[in-house]
Amino acid sequence: MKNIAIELQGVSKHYTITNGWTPGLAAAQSTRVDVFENITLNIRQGEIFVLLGPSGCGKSTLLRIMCGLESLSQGNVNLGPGLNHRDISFVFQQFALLPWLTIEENVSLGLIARHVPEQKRKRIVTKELHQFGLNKFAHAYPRALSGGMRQRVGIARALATNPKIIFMDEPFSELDSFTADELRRELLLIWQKRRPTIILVTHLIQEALTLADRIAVLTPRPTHIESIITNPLPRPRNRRAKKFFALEDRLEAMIKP
Amino acid sequence: MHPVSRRRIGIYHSPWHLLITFGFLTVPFVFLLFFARYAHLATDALLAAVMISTWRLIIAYCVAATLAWIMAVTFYHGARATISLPIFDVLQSFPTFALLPVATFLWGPSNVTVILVLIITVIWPIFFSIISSLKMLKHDWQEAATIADLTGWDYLRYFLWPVTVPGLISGSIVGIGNGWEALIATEIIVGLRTGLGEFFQAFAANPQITALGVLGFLILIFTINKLLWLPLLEWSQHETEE
Repeated sequence: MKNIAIELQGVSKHYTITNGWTPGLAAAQSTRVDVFENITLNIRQGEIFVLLGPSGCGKSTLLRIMCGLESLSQGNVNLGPGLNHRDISFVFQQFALLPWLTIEENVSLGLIARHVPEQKRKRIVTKELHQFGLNKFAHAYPRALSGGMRQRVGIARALATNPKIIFMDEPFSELDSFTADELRRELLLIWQKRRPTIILVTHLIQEALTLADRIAVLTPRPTHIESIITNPLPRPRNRRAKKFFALEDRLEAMIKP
Repeated sequence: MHPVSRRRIGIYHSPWHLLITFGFLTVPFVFLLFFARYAHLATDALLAAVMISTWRLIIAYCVAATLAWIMAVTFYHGARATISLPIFDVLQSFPTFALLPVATFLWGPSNVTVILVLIITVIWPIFFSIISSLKMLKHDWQEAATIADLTGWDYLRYFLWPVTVPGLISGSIVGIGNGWEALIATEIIVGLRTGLGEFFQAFAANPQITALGVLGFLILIFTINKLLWLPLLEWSQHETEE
């Protein structure tokens, strides 16, 4: 437990769909849907852990359960020793910037909630914005920015509170491939400097191989962890290397039904 | 970098826009002057009637908007919504004027009676409009606030207030529109000796003066809309635009 950032013990998630009653047409019906059953997983401090799987396999739900945004039906999620909910942050797929706040206010949000004094807050926000080249947009509103810039703000917001664990739900899927590549590189640089635990969801094998220390391959119906693979490729990763292609093929074979 | 607490309320396009919009405010008063002369009325008496009625509406609106906001943010989701929203729906369908005899019995023909009827009239459009704003809230925004761990005053200031403002404004437009109608009717029914209701009742037999009175009323409502509500509505919708 000493080196563990987050631990999942027998986590299950199910929900019930209820169809209403229509006179003469349909009787009321309740159907139980099992999203996943009995998932046990340990994620280590300081690693980049990727949940990889096809769309609809429940990987985002699992991520959201880990960070407390969604409830679980059974099992336990434990944060590592000395960690609490204020040590986590989240990067959303569709950025989730609050449109009525300026960029600097969006980045400040977690610091405001933690009652960080104004001077210190300004210093932190300026540093985070500077890191992503967003200083001159500090007083702009999110609607004025491109998708790539918005996600940079999303990541800056997540980093501002200096979290120990960062959850990322398909953070680059709304971006064009060039911007996504650039942001992956920036993310890796930040991770190398600060070493937070990053738990990232993706359906892109290449993205998983570029970023991850370990990859949990999820397969649907019923959703389960098919395998957890340790990524042996040295950083920076060469996407044209033979070993990269070999791992890509192996993961593809696992995910394909 | 500016302090986070500095807020910008840019509801007018330019200083000229603001000036012209405020210029409109003189129109109802100019009309009032001409109208008083035409109807052979004391201008100050007519102005006082307009002011008294407007004050009644402003007081009722402030109470109704505050109550509606508190009720909406308390009851908009979860089990509380499931139980309370159908009850509020029935209550809002209840005819306000049915309460008038009880209110008159308790407080007589007084400001309290008029303001109470107005509160009940104005509160429902504002309440349901704020509820609708909250129901359309993007799940991601709510989750961003949860992850940031915004609570208490910070949650209210940086999250709840901004998302409810568009509903508050659009509900206020409808609520105040209904309020003017209820105001005049209540003042006439309870027989108050002050306010616009008394004026309309006094000239009920004179269709020309009544028609001019209604026209003046329309100019007043149009001016307030142009001056306040429409710019506020545009601004608030722009604020939540992604």
